[in-house]
Amino acid sequence: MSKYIFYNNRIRLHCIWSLIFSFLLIGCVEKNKHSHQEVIIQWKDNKAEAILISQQLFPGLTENSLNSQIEVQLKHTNVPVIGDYIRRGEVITFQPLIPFTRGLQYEVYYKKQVVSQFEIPLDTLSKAPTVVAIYPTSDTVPENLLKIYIQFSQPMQEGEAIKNITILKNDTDTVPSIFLDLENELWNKERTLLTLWLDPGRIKRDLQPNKRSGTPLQKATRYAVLIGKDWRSAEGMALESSYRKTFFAGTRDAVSPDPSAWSIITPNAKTNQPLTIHLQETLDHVLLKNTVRIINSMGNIIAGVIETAEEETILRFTPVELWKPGNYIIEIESRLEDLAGNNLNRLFDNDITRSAKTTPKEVHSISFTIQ
Amino acid sequence: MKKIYFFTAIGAAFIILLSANRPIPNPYGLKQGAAEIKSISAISFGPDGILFIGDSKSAMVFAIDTKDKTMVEKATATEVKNIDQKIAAALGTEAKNVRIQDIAVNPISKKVYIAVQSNDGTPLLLTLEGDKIVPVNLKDISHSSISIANVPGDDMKDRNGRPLRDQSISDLNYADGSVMLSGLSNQEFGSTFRKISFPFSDKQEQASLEIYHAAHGKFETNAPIRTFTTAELNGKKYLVASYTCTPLVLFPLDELKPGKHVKGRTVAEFGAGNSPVDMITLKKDGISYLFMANTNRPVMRINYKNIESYEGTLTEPIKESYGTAGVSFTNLPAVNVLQMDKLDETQVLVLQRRANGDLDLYTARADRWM
Repeated sequence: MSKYIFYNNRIRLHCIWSLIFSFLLIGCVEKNKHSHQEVIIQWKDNKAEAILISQQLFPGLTENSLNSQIEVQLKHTNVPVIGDYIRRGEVITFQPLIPFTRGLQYEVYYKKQVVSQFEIPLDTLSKAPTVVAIYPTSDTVPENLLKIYIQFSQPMQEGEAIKNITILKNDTDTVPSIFLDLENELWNKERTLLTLWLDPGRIKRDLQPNKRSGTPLQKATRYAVLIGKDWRSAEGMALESSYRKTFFAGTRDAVSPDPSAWSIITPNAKTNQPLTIHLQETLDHVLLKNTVRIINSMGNIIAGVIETAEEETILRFTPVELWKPGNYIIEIESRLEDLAGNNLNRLFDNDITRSAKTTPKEVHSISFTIQ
Repeated sequence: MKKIYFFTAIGAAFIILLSANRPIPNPYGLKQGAAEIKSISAISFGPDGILFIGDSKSAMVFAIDTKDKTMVEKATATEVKNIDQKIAAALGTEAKNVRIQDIAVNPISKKVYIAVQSNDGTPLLLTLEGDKIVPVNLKDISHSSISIANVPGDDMKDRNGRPLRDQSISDLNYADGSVMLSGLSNQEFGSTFRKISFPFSDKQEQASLEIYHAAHGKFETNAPIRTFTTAELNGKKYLVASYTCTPLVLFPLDELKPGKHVKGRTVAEFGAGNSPVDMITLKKDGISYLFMANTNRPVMRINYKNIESYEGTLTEPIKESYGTAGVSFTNLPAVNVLQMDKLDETQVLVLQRRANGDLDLYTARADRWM
């Protein structure tokens, strides 16, 4: 009788376990091909955020010994991975503090003995990240270029920039450290856009680094920005390919952008054709998208999308709704900069001995009418 | 009448009981719950075991109550070799996937707190218990926070549709009831410095300052502060800040007011081709010294007395290549120091990249540095 009960219990346990597994498999939980049957990897947003372990691996396990007797370790480290163990019926879930790393092997210990091991598979299905653009996209930049932006297709890992970017001068010489080495790299919130400053101390005339090393870029010189393909996405995938952008350093830009010189092509009412602004020079791509707004006569912001074109010499604003006839204002925050960091109110390389504008405007405006 | 006495007595007893059982005082207005921290750029201790966390990603400053308030006078020397590998192993990954962002010692308990950023984007706050790495649970913690997203005084700030500016917090410190932080925008080039009084409140007055120092004659430098501390010099409180190319600049703290442009006084140039990374102050025999770690120079020691007595401001360009000027300093035999903090009055905690590439956390005797 007791044997029968035992056998029956085993069957019951097996059935429950199978049911849980089937359920989990149906519930979009990917089973790890490399793992033994006892461990299932739980994925969220393409990250291995937890593992589900069959309780059968832990004979004699009690609620109190959950944290003290089970350990998950990265192979060859002999250090338990920090995380939470939760028991739900016949399944123990282990959620590490950060997701498991793809390509690494882990071991499950019970009472100091390895009872199972598993590997987090490399990502073969997702698309590799790519460099979408490097701004400025123009072929010629001023010799006092202040910053470049790198736009990626996916969130990237931080702390990789300096080792993955090389600048070549005249296709032969590697240029050492033209970028400002910051402890914390400057990414947008999505970690898809990286800002790199060319060392401002070398751009400012008369500062010691400028006197010693000259400007980071020299006039009438050809440069190439090379991005190595070892740069990995937040999910650990390397770039699809390396990337190269060439540009030519031209004359110094020592003039602030002047919105009064911009020309505007206005669309017709009852269309959602873009408002097109010719900027007369290449301006900062990211600031263009963040400092320009269209306001109607009621003072409300018109919802729409700003795009840059023609090497950031054109700004196009496409409204979400059809244009209504009336008067509008283009508002431009004074912090809008050209490629050399000159904004609407002051030059980057400002001579403070000269009299400054008495009351610089925070917002510059241009009016236009839709008919 | 007796009834009245009876009820009065009951009422009095009730009031006494209430006052005895009143909730534990919460002078900082903290709330229990999940601190929605998206990144940790810099950490620094304030009063009563409160840890300030600068979060660049969410443009917030968090104050968390570590409840770590048991006074320890003399700290046990900490030594963790290959700390990056040890942290990585405890997180189940490799050292290349984690970065140590900042280190702070709780001045009360002398416990070491380490801010770590994982490559998948998860921010982590860890502590050391011996050489064991223990996480601080940020999902259920007494905390408060304040946004640093909007720049006060900007007349477009109240309009809808205004995108938040991304910025990077380069350093954060607490002094005299205020959290101070320096930052760099990832769009326009400019230095922002904020002084936010703590406890945080809805009627927060934040000072957003553009600071420039006329370091080299006539050209203004609107560069971001890389690291800073505060000090009392000749009886007046100053912000002591350093920038890329290593000028040391003083700003009177009482002049840092909202919307005001403050011109700093450059008292030293510690050489080009270098960036400061961290600053601490140590005292010996009543004399205070400033210690500054650098990217391409050793740790420098500067006597505050020399800063006090230097009354000029450097305005002439330095002619000699990599030359220095102004207040004198001494180079210590410690290079590639990435982080420093005072462990106690006699010991300094140092995070150093060794010549063989190892990243070690160790304790240095302060008297050997002075």
